[in-house]
Amino acid sequence: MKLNRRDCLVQSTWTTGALAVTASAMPASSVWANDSGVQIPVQHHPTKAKRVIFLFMHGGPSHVDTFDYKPRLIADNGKDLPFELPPQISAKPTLLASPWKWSQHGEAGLWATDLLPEMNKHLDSLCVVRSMHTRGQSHGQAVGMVNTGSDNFVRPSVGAWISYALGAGHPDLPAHVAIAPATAHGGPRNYGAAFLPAKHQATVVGKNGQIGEGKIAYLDAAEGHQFDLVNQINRGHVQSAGRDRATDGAIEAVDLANRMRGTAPEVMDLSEETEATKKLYGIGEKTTDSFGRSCLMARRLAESGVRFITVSSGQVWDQHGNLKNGHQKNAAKTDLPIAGLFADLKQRGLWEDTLVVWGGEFGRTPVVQGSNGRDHNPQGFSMVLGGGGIRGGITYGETDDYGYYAVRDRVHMHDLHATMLHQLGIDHERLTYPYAGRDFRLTDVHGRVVEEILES
Amino acid sequence: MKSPFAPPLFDNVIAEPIGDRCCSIANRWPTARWMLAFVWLTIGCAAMVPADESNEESFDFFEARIRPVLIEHCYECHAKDSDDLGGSLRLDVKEGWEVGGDSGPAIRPGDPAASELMAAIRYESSEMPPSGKLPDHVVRDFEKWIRDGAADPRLMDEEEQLTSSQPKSFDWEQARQFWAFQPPRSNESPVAFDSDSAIDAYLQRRLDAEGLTATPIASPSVRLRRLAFDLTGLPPDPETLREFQADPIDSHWRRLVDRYLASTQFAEHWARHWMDVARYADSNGSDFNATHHDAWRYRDYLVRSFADDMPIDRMIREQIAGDLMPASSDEDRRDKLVATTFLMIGTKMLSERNKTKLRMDVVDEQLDTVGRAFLGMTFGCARCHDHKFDPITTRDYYAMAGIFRSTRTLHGESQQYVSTWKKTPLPISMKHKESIHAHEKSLQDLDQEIKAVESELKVLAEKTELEGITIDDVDAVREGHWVESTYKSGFVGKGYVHDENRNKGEASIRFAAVLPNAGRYELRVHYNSSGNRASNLPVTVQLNDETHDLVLNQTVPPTTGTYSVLKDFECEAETQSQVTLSNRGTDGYVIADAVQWVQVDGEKDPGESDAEIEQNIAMRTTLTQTLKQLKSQRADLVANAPPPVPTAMALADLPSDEQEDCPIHIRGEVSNLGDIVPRGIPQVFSESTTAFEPLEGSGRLELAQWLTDPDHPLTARVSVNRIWMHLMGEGLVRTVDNFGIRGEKPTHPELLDALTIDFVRNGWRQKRLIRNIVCSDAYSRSMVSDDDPRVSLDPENRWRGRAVRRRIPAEAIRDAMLVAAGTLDPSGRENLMDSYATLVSQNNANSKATTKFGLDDPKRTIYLPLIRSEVPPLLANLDAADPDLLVGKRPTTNVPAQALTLIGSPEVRRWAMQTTKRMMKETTDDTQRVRWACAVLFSRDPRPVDEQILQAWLESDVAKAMSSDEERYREWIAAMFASTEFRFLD
Repeated sequence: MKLNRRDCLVQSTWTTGALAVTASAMPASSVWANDSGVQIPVQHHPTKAKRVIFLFMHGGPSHVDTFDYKPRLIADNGKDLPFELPPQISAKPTLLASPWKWSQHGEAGLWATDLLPEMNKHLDSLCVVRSMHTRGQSHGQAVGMVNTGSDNFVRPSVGAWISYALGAGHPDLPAHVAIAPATAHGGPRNYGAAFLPAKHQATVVGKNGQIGEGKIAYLDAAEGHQFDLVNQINRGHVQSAGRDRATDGAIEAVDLANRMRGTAPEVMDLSEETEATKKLYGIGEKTTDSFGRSCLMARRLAESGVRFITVSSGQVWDQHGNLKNGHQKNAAKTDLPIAGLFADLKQRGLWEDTLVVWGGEFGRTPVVQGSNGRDHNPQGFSMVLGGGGIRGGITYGETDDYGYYAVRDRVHMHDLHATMLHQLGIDHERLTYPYAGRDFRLTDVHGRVVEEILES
Repeated sequence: MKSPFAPPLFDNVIAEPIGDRCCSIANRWPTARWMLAFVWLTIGCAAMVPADESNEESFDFFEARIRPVLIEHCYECHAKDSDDLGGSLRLDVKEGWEVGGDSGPAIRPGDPAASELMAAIRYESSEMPPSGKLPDHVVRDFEKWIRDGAADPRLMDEEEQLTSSQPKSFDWEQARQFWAFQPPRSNESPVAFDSDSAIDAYLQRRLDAEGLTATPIASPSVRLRRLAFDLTGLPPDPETLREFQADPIDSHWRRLVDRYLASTQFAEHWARHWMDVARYADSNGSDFNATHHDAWRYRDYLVRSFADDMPIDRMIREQIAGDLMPASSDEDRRDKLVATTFLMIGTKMLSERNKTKLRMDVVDEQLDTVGRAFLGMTFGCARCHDHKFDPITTRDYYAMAGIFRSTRTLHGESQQYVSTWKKTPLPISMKHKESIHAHEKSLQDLDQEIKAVESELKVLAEKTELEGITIDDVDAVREGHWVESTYKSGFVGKGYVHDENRNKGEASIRFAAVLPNAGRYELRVHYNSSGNRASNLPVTVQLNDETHDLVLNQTVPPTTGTYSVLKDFECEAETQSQVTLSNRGTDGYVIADAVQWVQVDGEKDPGESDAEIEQNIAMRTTLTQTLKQLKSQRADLVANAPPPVPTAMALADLPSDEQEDCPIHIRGEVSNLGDIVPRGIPQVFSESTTAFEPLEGSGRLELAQWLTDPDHPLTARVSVNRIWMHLMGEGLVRTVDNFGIRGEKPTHPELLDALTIDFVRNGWRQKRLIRNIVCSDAYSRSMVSDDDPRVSLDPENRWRGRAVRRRIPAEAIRDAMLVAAGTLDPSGRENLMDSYATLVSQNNANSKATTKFGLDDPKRTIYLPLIRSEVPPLLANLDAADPDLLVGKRPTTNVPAQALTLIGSPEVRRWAMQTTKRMMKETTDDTQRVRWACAVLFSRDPRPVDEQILQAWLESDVAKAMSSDEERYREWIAAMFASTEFRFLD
């Protein structure tokens, strides 16, 4: 289902009747809207990606058990870390080698364990950033950092900034969708608009890692005749009392909601997909069904013009104990659907202009917590990027010999955000919003585009 | 690849910047490319220098050890030719680091610890160079160079100008000329505002100057709807409307104004305005969404204060320093303590593990709130650098930060690493005190009794200490699932375990002991019996290498006391014994209490006879029962305790030896401290001293007094402007929270000043000001369509020639629906968070308090819990203030989700049904229904189009297909709820 712009205009006119409709509540000066309601995007430079899918592995998957190969950690298993732990850590200094097997994959020979076998098949088209670091020893701060660029203050989410910059790619759909977001660790703040206009907050589908019915709240509850009645009463109001920007905007919102009611369920209806596609995502299999449907929903939304989609695993990757069982279980749920998404994006020609980001709010310590777990590690961890103009089959940056601290070509969370915006054609230093007397940015006063991982 | 240098000790995560600084693009440290294999090169340099450098000329040391590193690692971004001079700092000339960049001088010769450059290359503040930390020996070289005086031969050419933002020195005289820092001025005589026309006279002057004509006074129904919603947040009742329509004269209007101003609903509605600015919430939000059990006291304090028309200056003083002010009664003390909740209630990252940083984050939040709430100044910027627009310096910031840092906001932890806030006991009545005391006394007595019985039991246990070697269940090694129990009295030690009759074959318990002597030992197994026990419990006895398999039947009582003798064995000295009870193949509950080995040959211990043991066991059983009784008595007592001493989220000063002035945090970093600034006020506000002297407490009282000084140029203006905005749609200064240079200038400066002077002269009384505004013609003007030519002459209505349509607040929209439904319960709600545990996500089902309620609770919305991260979509989508943020002026957004919640949410549909039923009862035909609905929902008489819409709907196929009239009319009422007219004031 794809509407072209002409269809939109026709439909829009039909729904709003004779009312002259203008865009209300204009966003800040750098961003504007045209008649159809499709925003003309900010473009500071040519784009490589049109959209982002963020596969948020909430809880913090272990980099030393997935993509950061450390022979010394294997060799020194059981010995003490030869340097100090950061403060406020519950882990012991004893090194714990990964319980999974390491091997090289693909033509490029990237190292990975056998924890995520399906994702490993795509490593030739992925870039592993091994030198991530962020702020926040606790989940709340680090989750805030990865989703909003701030560990301690209320700031707009990455998706809200992107919505603000680019608008939606479809007149009847939001620009920003959060699939199965967590209610904890800041909850709505992690996909909220904060002080940006409210429309940039994410539309939510499902929660806490479960896509559920995969529907937008209240969308099904409303019926066509209700929109008609509201429209008539509104028309009566403005005809007798006069129109103004506020009522125009309210009337337009009713109209958009009604159009969304027509469009979204179709976009979000996974039953239209072939059995082969569903199988690719593991839909129908008990373990992979929920996350598979989340991933497939992400693809359908991406395809339809949504700019930023977070697919959340739920806060499951937090193995302070029972690393092996826990990570294995999480991998079983997510690995196949993610690989399915990659394959599907590739076969549909969407890979090239879709930036895919995989990772958690932090990684995990190479030292043991309890007898068989790992504590939080914001000092060094890995994230995986692909598509959208990212070089495949490479690693970037390094942690120390044990995978504790990022030491070489360090990439801060702000740098990741700068890079994401860059691929979308946005200069992170120029995308600003005035609030409380200041011009705010996603990257605050930080951020470096990691040019080294970009395709030339 | 092997790490090129020693294992790193970065503590950057902790020492890093505060996480959010300003956002302007210019001044920042470089983000450029810092690649290159720098490490090897610097090591090479080091090799050129002899080991003994103590007698070297300093320049030599600079040339050998410092200059090469600077060239290699710093010049790219910190030299004359850098594309983008990082942090405005040059390191290619001596003057560069002397003057410094954004953070001030980069090097303080002789004092490496105070040198920003050292902090940067140690990765303690900003991380320089960004590509990787310099090797430790290079860092040590810099330290030595600076300690020895930082000799640097690189002098600047004479004609060269150093471009730097530092040191930035304000021209204070000029800064103070800015309108907002000038005291209000007025040429009017003080009595001017006792007439209704004063405001209009000011506005008319501007209209005349702009050549604009004002619109006429709006219809009585439009005016009254405006007034009722603006003053009370509720629609006018139809009776009042009819009366006013019949007699819309000024005196009638004034009578209604006074009636509304005197109502509780007024106080509730205007308290809610204040709560927007106070970022009020009943939970902390953020990572650790802790319940604010006592926030409601602050809400009620606001309602009481507005009802009493408490002077705003006094409210401000109490909210900043109520705890430090004298109180005239217990009630007054309570109010003054509760008032300080204002500073406590912001969202906090309670789980932040770096408590120094958390403390400064809280201080920052408080400072930013006070600045924006009362002064319309944005102080937050100055945490890291001097304000880029307003004359507020980092010195000013830390002068005020010292005040809040000397105040206790956080106190203790609710769990490891998670801070919680200070809870202050409130004064209580004598009677309450006595009942608490009596309760504590009985509790104490009971506890003593319990203790006595427990110690008796202990003595008995010691006396009956079992002969031989006893291994209690707690000392045994358990495998699989075992449940601890004390259910059946008469056991060894503190209890016994059982297998829950589950997981057969998986649970076992091993009692190990060394039998010291050679000789014959008797094996006793302690257990208790009943019919549900295993009759075939396998007991494996391992004695050194030999194994004996025995079976125990636990359905029969022990043969002696709590044990049965299973068998006796001949043992060597030092025999390793292991007795294992397993639930493998067992046919009932398996009990494991203790295993006892008693040597039975040779001299028998002169221990107690079996009869004595039996007697002891009987006594023990009695005592155990007594203990059980006492404990249940205690539980009853606790359950029926008098209400505890109420607490408030109230501040206190830190102990005087912990109160201190705050050092400047360079670039906002908690680990990078500069000069200490005496606590005081921003320099722009004082031509003489800015420090509070003498200072006895934290400085909050002084701050509160300074803020509310009658001559303060901002506080009263900001208050007056907000009140104006709530009634007129826009403030006279439209940026209500920002009176700084980036804010807007007042559209009517003389009017703002005259209103402010009148406000202060008359005791900072809000009601008087509100009365003056709503009695002006300007308030009652009619709006016109945007198509009207008058609109294009003044599109933003800056000159107030007309009214502009305004949306009523989310709370009022919901409350008005409840009014229409006839279900609104006007009473308040105390202790509304009692059913929540520490975290709002833990709802304590056992609590005696009210059940968890949401939008369905028929109270006014102000009395519903406002939980951060869980604001109901209906309210959030209608732009209820985000409790995470200070909201001076709510936005009016129109998003599809708003339409969807209004049309589709079950609550709205329920209220629509209730409204419909009410309407059906009170009316007989459609004409009456239209009249009823228009009066109740829109506060006006019907127009022909209203009935046409209803008739068209009733005749539609969809309506006809519905099964009942109620459903058909409900759709119509629901659509009116979702309409623009319902939620906008024309």
